[in-house]
Amino acid sequence: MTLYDSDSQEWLDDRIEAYLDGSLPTQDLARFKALAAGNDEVQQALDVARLISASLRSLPDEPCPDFVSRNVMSHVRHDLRKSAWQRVESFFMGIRITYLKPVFAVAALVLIVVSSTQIGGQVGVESAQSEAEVSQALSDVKWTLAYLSGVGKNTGTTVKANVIEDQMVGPMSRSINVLSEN
Amino acid sequence: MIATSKHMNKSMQWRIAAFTAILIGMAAMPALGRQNVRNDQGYVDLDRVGDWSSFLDRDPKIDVSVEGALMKLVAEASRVEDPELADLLHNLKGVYVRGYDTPSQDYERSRRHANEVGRDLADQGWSSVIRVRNEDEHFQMFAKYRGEAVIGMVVLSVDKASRETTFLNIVGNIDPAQIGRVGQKFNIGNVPNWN
Repeated sequence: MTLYDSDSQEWLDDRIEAYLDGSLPTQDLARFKALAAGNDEVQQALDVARLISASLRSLPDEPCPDFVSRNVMSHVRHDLRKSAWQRVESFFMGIRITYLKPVFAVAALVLIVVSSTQIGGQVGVESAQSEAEVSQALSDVKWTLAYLSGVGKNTGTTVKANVIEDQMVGPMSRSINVLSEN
Repeated sequence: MIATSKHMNKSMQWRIAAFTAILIGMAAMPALGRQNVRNDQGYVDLDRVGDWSSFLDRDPKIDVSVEGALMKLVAEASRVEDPELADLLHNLKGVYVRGYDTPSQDYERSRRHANEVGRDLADQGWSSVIRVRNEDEHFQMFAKYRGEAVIGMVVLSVDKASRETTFLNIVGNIDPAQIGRVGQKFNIGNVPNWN
């Protein structure tokens, strides 16, 4: 809409308000000034508007009552939370199903590849690990624990089980006891 | 995809990219969980540290790697038979053992190599807990601490009598007293399938 698109009163009021607020686009500013200079009615309307604006600005500021501020702020916070959720919702809802098909296909492919190559420790194990393998692993772990607890008795002549007790288990237990007492 | 992308605006492309990233992230999460054990400070890659297989020019005769979900299954498998063992295993993230035949002629150089490996571990922040070095045996035990807690343990043993080199690592929240107590229940000779 340009300055000469319409001469309606509403159009004129909008231009006068924008002129006084300083928000009239540069290209319209010169034209509006020219219009006001050459048209008494427009000039008169502009003067009245300027007077009203100046009068309003000269009124003393009234502090906003606390309960109003609190009420407004609670609504603002509520709206912010709501709009944040709406943004998330619209983010996903805005994705068209047509576009999602290849995305789901890629994700499914990635899932299959990752599962088959790496998840062995998770999904794969639970489905693919046989009872025998778990039993074997349990035996291995038991052996390891037996080795650790009996280290020295079975591996050599110098290190005895009580060395571990004296040098490692004992001090650690004492430290834990001291910590738990504190 | 190529045909439709011509009609997609940038916002839509971003949305799809983010959605795809979320899906891929969700898909990769279990794998990351498994990787975490090997990123743990208490973990030692027994196949790389010291590279015993290359050093002795033979494959390990003992090769144990129990970790991640398998460790949880093992813990649950022992729940009925031995609840204390199950509790201990639930606190462990991984158990790794490599055992090598070490003939007499390889003993001396293996012992020297074990010394170097021990020094490397110490450089990496492992605390030497027990160290025994004599003519017939090289034995070292290391622990990795986080605060007061033991989060990793390494045993490196080169034994002349049994002609074996054993390299062992356990990862997790380790209670040495509990390991000693639980481990005493098992007799190495009575636990099958080791060799």
